Amino acid sequence: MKGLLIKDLINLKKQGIVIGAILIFYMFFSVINQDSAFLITISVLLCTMLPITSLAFDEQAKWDRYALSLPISRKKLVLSKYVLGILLNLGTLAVLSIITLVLHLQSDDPIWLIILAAGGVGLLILSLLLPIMFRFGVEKGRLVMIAVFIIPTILIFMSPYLNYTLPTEQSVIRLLYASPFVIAAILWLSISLSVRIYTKKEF
Amino acid sequence: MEYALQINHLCKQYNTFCLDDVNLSLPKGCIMGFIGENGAGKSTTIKLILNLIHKNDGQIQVLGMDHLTDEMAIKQQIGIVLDESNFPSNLKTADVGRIMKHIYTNWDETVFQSYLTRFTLPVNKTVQQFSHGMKMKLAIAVALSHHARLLILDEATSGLDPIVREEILDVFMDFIEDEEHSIFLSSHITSDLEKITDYIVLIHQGKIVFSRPKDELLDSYGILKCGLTEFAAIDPAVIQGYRKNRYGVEALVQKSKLKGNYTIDPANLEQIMLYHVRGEKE
Repeated sequence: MKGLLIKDLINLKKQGIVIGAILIFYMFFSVINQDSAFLITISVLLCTMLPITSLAFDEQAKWDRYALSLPISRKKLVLSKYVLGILLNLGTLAVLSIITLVLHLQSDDPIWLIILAAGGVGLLILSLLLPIMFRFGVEKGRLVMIAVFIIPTILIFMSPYLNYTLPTEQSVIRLLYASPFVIAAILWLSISLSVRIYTKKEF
Repeated sequence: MEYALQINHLCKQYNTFCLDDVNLSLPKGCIMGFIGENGAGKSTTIKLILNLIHKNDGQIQVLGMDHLTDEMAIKQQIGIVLDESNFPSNLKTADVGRIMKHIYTNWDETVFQSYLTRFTLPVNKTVQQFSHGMKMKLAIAVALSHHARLLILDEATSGLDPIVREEILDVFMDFIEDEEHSIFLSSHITSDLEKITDYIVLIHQGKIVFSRPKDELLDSYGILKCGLTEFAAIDPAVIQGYRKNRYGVEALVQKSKLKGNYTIDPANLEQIMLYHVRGEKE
């Protein structure tokens, strides 16, 4: 597991530098605009996509069939991508928290709530994407991913026309408290689904 | 006898191809060459040994252990080289060592470094900038740096120039000096196998054609060149395969069974393989 994580981190070093540069750019932006919601969302999303990038690199090098010839079980290989995603997610949240404290970042909404919500959404996206990528590969998986994202987008755009009342503030808050458990459950489901998909795969 | 690798009644069904009842045994301390044309089933067999694909039937024992129930224990003790390098392109040799240290419990960094020096692999280039030969050497260095007892090599020398191939064959010869070590290698470069192997297995269209000690195999066959009338008089059972040409017939024959006064040239592995796979037969 540790070996796989080290491999991914070394492999993603260049991407990390690019993301770092983007973040510094948006950091100035958010200080000037006195709104850091955008910085937070974009940084969490970019980091969440990194395990997918690492899967694309693996696919390119046909790493999987080699890795599975080494003493690495299929389960461990799958888990390593989740661990990578969770570590990057938590790492980003930590960096964002430090930036927030040091720069006294502001936002219209409570800033800590935005950071946590962004982290949660990041993990949800990861849980959704990884089984798709393990099933279809990154190349085809990207197309499936676009389809998966288009459906909620259409629903949101349609929402004014759908007869649908916004949830009350109270129920949103209740949902927020429950969210860590919901996210953990979805992650767990996603991991077991990915392991199942990957165990059946032939290389 | 102790076996490094034993395959019994192995079957794998695809839509258009089927690996059918493959049996082979590699005694400990020996090198077995696995030959056959492209698509004959060499890589499929190796993938089945490594559980990269799932078998339909049969048993595989590696170093005396079942390849499924003891998969991880086996993989700790075997070295693998596949037909192309699979290292992610952004890695340097030092990174490969850093990663493998956490994957193989017996990883030996000093041995790895010594192979890197022996193969003169550049320290500050990434795998991306490596030539095909350098990538294969890196894979071989990894396969030899965790005190493996069995090497499984799938077309490891294909696509390499003769000098690099020679260098790699020397490394294999060093490895096999230890009687505990064995090598199973597939290749269609038969001259390489002729140099180093103890056993030869020929696979054709998913079936094993023969599995024999190399010296015995080379001794038993010969190349007969004669005229058509002379050829017609020979017992067909002795002829493994033949080709007619402008001057007469060239045939692969079983030397010991051929009675009479004929000039027979020694057959090499390539000819034996060709006549088994493609030569006409009566």
